[in-house]
Amino acid sequence: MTTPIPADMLLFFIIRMDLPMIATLLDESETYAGMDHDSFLRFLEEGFERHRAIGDNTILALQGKFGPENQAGYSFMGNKSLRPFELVLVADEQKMIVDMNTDPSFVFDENSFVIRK
Amino acid sequence: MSTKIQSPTQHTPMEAYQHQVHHHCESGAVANLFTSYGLPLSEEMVFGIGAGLYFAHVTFLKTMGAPTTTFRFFPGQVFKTAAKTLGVQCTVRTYKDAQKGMNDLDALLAEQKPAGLFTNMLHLAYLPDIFKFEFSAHNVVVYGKDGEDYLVSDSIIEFPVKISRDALAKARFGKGFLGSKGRMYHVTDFNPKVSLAAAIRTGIRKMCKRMLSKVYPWGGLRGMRRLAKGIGKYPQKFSEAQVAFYLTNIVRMQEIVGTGGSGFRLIYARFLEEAAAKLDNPELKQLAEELRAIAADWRNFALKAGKTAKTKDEAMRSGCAQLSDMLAAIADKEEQLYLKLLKTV
Repeated sequence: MTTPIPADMLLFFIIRMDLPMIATLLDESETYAGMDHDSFLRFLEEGFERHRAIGDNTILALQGKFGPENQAGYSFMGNKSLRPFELVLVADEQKMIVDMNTDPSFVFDENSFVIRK
Repeated sequence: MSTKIQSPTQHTPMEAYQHQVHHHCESGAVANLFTSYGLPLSEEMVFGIGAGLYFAHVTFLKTMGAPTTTFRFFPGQVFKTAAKTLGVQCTVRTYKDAQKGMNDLDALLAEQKPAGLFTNMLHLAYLPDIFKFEFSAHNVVVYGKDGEDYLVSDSIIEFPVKISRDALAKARFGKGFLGSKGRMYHVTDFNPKVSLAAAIRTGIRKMCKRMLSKVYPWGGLRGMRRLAKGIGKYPQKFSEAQVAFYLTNIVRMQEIVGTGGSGFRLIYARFLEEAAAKLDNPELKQLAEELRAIAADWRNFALKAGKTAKTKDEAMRSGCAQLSDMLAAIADKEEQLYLKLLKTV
């Protein structure tokens, strides 16, 4: 991807599993996480369907690290299932998404809060 | 008939407190707080009785570099109006001294009383960095302690969280826009003469009158029509990059900033539906459906604005013209709805 996307908006629409609004943020001529525009939207759609099928009604966005250099990024998990949604977003200091991938090495940060279920 | 609206309970408010996830921090926090004190209310009820629905587009006040667009009334007013209208007596305190503010919170918790707090989102350690920004009126409820840490219920977060005294003090007293001065509130009593039905009617009337008011050119329906005209002129007045930025910010404020989508219209539609049942008023149910249809128009407006922001030249000019028409049509529909609502209640 070459055109940065406002990170708060993309993360929020992923949290809400809102595919039409996500589509408004993407450029048809770009590639995202190694996929062309349409394939990326399909990837998201299938992922959202998977999470809805196991009872998730939102996706949680959490910080973490990935790759050999422990790069900081954001990834996702279902709000009920706590199962990961394998998409990693990297934001710059201006809070713009500058990279996306599906790196399986992503590990969520030890959060400063306790998740109580 | 007036009835006392508080339900009898065997539990202290702290024992009764339950973290519920909501769309909007203020109405969510107030719903969770009032419920723990024995007045079970949905987020929608609090938002509706608190006359939260609004619209304003203020060009002289910038938010994140763009003219401020809001779909709700001023921060803190939903709580204030809901409490007053429902006859819920609350103690609200602000502080110059952070230590005193924290000690008073400890004292309340020692009395088994959860407290609502204004916090600055920039300093809330548990939020992902992306969602941290300068906003000092983010409502959370503190409902207990675990050792020296505080149990915090932030109704826009899936789970309750635990944060240290220093972190909570920083979030309460961190300087910023709408400086909160550690604002803290809790319930002290209920007025036995107030009925839920009367509160619902009062909340609806207040919202409608505010939306229909012609006092402020930037507020209510007048503000919507002003923005509609403004968007039509965006391509002549601003660069393409600025137009894209302004449109994107309107989408952000409409779809993201705690609105539950469609600029709080969906939340309010659910309030009207709940109100219809409480008041046994089928007309309100019908009007809830009308508002749902208007919410769908808002949604289409956001989708169109998002798409237009990516265009250039004639496509952008044409997109802005269409957005202008869409918003003017929404304002007309909302006007009819508010007039009907006023007649109904």
